[in-house]
Amino acid sequence: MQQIEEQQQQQGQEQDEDLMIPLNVQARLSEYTDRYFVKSYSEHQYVFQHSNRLYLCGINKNHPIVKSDSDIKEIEFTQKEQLVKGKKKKGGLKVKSNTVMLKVHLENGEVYEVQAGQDGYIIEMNENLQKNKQYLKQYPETKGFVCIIQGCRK
Amino acid sequence: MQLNEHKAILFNKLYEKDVCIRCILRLFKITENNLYRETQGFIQLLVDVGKLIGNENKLVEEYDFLYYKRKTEIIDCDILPQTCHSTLKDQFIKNPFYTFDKINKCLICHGILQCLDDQKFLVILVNEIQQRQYQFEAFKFQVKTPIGCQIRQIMILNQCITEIGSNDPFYEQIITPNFATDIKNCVKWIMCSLLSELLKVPCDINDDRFLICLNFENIGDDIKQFEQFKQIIQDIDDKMWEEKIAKKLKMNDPQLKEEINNKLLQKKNLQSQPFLPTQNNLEKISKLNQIQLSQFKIINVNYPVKLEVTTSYQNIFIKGNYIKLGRYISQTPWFINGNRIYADSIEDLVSAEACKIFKPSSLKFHSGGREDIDVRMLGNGRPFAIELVDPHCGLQIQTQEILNQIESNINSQKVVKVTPLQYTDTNIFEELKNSEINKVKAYCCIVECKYIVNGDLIKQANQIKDLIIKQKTPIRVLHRRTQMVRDKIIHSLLIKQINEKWLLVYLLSSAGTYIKEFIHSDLDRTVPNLCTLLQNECDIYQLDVMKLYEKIDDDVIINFKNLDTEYGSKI
Repeated sequence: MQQIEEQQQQQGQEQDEDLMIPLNVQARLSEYTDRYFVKSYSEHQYVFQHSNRLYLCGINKNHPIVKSDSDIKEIEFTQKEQLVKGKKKKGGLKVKSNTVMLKVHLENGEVYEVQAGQDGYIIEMNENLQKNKQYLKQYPETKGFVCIIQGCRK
Repeated sequence: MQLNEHKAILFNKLYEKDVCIRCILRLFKITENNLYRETQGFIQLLVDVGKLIGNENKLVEEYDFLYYKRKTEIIDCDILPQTCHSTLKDQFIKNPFYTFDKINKCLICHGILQCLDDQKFLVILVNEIQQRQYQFEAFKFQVKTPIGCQIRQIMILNQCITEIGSNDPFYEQIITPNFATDIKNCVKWIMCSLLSELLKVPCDINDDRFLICLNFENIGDDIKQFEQFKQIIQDIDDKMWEEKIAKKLKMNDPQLKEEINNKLLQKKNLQSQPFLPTQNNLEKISKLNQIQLSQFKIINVNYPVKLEVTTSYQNIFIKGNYIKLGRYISQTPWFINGNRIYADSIEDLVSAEACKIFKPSSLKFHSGGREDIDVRMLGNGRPFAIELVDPHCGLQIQTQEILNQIESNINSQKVVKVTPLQYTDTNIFEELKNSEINKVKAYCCIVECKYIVNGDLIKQANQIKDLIIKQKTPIRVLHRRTQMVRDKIIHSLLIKQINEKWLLVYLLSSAGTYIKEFIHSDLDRTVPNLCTLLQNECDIYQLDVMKLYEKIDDDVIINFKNLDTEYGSKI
């Protein structure tokens, strides 16, 4: 199962049959991310698809960064920043799901690479990670997201 | 009109070239309306002209009574013309005004001024207007004519004058551009009285309510007329540009290189484009001199003139404020891929009765801002206006009674109510835009917190005045709005604890603030937010817009603080 999941992630597909959570769960209050997003996980990362087809990408709870006892020393953004203009979000950096977006240096010397997780154009990198590095470790699936990606037009 | 020998010679020339009498009168700038309508008088005119040219009965013998011009062979019209507009083929086939198809056509107006008196034509025209079922007590008349007629007019005059020789001052006068009376005016002089007799209402140019427009079109012909002038006009334009550039060279203008490059690019593009029949191009052509014009021929194509009759009534505007008491009602009908999401919409509910009474062709809904679909709109309501476009029954005296009727009909429903309605006009757009940008709004929402709430932090939050927050475009709208940071102001907060983890939050904020994102922080893309203020994790359960205020001042804040007592029990 893991192999298939990894393959799927590499191909940039976000549909994962095991973990479909329906959109618009209105009846009982659920977490913000549950309400709008369809979540799909791979071994260490996640891709959440919003009902408006934008993708939220980041590392999940099983990632060694999160599991490690050591704190984050530095987060290096490996890709150049490209500003996105206009409603159609023109000018965004084009990435593949295995493009490395971050290099995370831990206090104990370990370095981890974080990939984009989804093919498409980067609309936004999480700027909060520059000031609040611990978000990546403490809230990987909410405030510590890595980037927002707009899918390629078909 | 006063004839002299020179005028008569020109008249004869034009007559021989198959121009109808009404067009000749136009070229001579005759402005007495009745001369165009008294078709009996044409025969006397022809006799008078004949006398002056030395052959009294010549013109009368050749006269075609039906079409007010010299007799010629009627050529079959090309019903399926080859034009560059493929849509035109269908238009020609559906033309109900078939009287224009096979006629003894005048060279200039191609039948427009010839068939207006025809009884059959008038019957079809009146039928066409009456079957649309408008109520009106007067009408305003508008005409549009094809631009190709002007080209032929210029060319014919030029030909005649060259042949005659310009020794009379009258000839010089006649070839100045825009000397002749326009075809549109002639159509109006002839048609207004005829139409008002048949429709039994007067024709009033000052009454803007009901407009009848006769749109004579012949696009295929227009294009053919203008085509031949492409090269010469381009050459003239190029020369003018070169002269401009020469001047600039002398002044050492630094932008020169760029201009030259742009022009060469433009020229390349122009080569392949057709020379379009526009007013601009017509003016350029009319400036050509006699010799230049002589090299061109009159292209006489046999495309029939198409007539389209459009009628419209002045729009009616109704304004008011609406209150939305239910959830899952969109403001305007919402379709995805042709499927209707959410059965009701405020637009439908508010305008149903008005549409039944006034019967508009279509409806436009304008509002001062909008709210999310799951948010109620309470208090004094949100300003809106409905525009009834082209109301067929607009003649009904627009009284307050009708408005009251519409209002009570709307208010009898449960989910949407309106404040007393008023008639208005296009000034409402400014008001609505103003409301969207400037008004301060009070909201009430129910918030759930993840951890037990700290009472001290709540007291601190309640003291806030004019907190500036920075909101990045919320993820839920990021797919259709620009990615940017918006500065908004939270003027005041009033938080009441319902129990350990549930809060009732009242907010007073500037226009355009995303309230949901302020509460749950949108993954920390809105800072500061309620989560940071209360050092907790908050999520919003339900939101209502409580009230709209004109602007922020102390009275507003006091009123806001009292909202809880005003409405508290009803939530």
